[in-house]
Amino acid sequence: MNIDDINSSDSNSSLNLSEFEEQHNTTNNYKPTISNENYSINKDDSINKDDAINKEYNENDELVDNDKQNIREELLKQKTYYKMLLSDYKKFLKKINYQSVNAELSYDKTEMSIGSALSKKNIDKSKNYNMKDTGENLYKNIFNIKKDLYFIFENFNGKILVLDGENILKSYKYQQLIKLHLTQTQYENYFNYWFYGSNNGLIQPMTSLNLSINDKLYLIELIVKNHLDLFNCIVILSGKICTDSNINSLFINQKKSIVIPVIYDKDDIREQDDHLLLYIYYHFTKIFDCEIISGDKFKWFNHSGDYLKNFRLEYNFDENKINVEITNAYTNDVIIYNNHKYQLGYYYFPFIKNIFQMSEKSFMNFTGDSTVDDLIFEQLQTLILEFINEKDYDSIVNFTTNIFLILINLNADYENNILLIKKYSDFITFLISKIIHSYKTNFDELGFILNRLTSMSKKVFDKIEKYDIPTLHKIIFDFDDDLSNLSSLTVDLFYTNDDGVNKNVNIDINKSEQMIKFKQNIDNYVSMTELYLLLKSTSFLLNNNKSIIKIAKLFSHIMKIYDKIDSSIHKIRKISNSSTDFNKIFLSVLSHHIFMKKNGFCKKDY
Amino acid sequence: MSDYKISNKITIEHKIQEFWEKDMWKSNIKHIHNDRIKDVLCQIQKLTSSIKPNKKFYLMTDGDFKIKTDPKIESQIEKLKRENINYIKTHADSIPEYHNLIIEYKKKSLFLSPNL
Repeated sequence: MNIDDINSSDSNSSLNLSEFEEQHNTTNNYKPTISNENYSINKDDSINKDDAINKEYNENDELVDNDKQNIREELLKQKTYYKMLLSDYKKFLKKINYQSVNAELSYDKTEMSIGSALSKKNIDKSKNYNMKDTGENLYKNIFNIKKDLYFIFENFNGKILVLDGENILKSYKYQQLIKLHLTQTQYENYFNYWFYGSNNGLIQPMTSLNLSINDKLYLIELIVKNHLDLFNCIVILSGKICTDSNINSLFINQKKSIVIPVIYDKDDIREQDDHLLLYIYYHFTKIFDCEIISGDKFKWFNHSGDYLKNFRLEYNFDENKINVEITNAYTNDVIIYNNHKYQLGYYYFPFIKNIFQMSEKSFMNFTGDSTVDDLIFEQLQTLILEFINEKDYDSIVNFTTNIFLILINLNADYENNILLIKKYSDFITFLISKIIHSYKTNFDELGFILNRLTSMSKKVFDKIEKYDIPTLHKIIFDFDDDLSNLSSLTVDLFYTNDDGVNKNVNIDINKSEQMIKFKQNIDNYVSMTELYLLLKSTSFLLNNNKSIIKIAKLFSHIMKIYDKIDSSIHKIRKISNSSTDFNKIFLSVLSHHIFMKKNGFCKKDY
Repeated sequence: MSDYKISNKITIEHKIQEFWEKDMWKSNIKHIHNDRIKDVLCQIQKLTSSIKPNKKFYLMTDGDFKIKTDPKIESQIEKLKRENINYIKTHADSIPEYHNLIIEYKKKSLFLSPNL
């Protein structure tokens, strides 16, 4: 099939539609052939009714005229619907931003911004994708699920949510929702790779779920069944080709929702799942009250208005539950306590993850009364120090959570409570800096407790184990230290000749000396960013001017390299798809780049 | 929405807005190590300081005097700001004053923002 033909003119519509129907009525050319019992297509006769109808139509000559008439009408309805699918497909292709696709294709013609390691010869030409591939892949995926789409068209009613399953599973807040329905061990088994990356260090944390499509289906089902059972959901999931199993669409929630897996080849960088997701939204939004839920931006899709939606979680401390509501994308979650609602700077305050683990008795009924005096704070300090000495992490976390809740309470009458609020606020600063200082000889414990009290990932601490303790002390606590001890951590991704001058010449990957230097540069770059994350987390808590100057300087160093990598990220993505040692280096660069983005690099609330 | 929430929102938005419009351009260059930001700030600060008192125009607006600087220099400054503001915003962590603003914002909002 030629996509250009499909696009060419409306006069071709009937021909293409015939092809669409013909393939539909014969074999499923595009369907994988091996079935999986657990997740084989969960459709009853009503879903496969078109096949059943054909069979009846051909074999049973004794059908009464009314039945024949019904069958004819049903087939006509299907034909009309498929025509609509095809028509929307053509219109949708025109909505894809050709400029961005072409820009991606033209990288080979651009100047090499991170050295000649990314030269043409090192990139497999077969991995270049274009609009034709994009269109064909989308056509194939629509073809595969056309019966499911028809079923949705016929049977779904009410609001439809089109969910970006991959995006949801990678989001920390939805992971917390999933966690409510799993044991700690199960949760860790599913998300260990996501949080900690690969054992060999090639894949950074928060870059790959590394879950089978069956596992993804199961996790998505947990969210849909437990939190979205009022809606008709269409969930798009992506997964790599499996040799031993074949996954088809799965209806869940008494057929109120459907999960559609999109299987892709590892060399395909065109994000087929996103194209199908947007297509389904584009198609059904004309028919139903339809919302698309995703945290992505889909810049390649030309569509007017703020059409993207996302879930907002309401952490309700009054009812001890978490509610889900649909709102505009990029809206912060909220916390509700004593009927007061506050927007939650979630990234910085994940103490909320303890919502179901709070112990009432641990806080001695301390409610934040406005008559509280300094004596109480002294008692609190003494208690906290005791907990710190006893390494009673649970009590420390519970106390801190309670203080945050008191702050919320006091905020309701801000003007009258301003002095008390300041006292509590200062107390939290005191508490956290005390914890940092108390555990500074044991980074394992410090990492553990800060991970629970702040947004800081324990992984940041895990990653810095390779540094010796005196160096870390100097970096974090010696505010006069100007990072001169990090001067060796400069990175030059260019090949540098003996004169120290950058030359944009080809790196010979067979010369091991150059390979080692190149790898060392990247390792150094990774080290710098790890230290930056550590410094940024601690300097906010310690709030020291010299420390802030220090991290601003380190950030500048890092960004010089980051910007170079970012400008060539699509090229790096292509080159990292092979399994040679040389390509693995770029896999680590790509993975680290995603890790940094997840940690908020270059994402600012203006 | 309570009055306090509204006033709090206005204060926060105003402070951030004010930072991008005014304070950021006065940041201490000594502590900035991003070459492009440093260069832009140097140029702007140099241009600003080049405006001499005798090059200022005093205009009467709404019963008050408003100082109008040399339009040529002013347009040069505006052009520099306009061409670089996006880059500076995405690289704002290179500016210690930005860190201070965010920390102050977090502390003042007491680790929480009203649901506005």
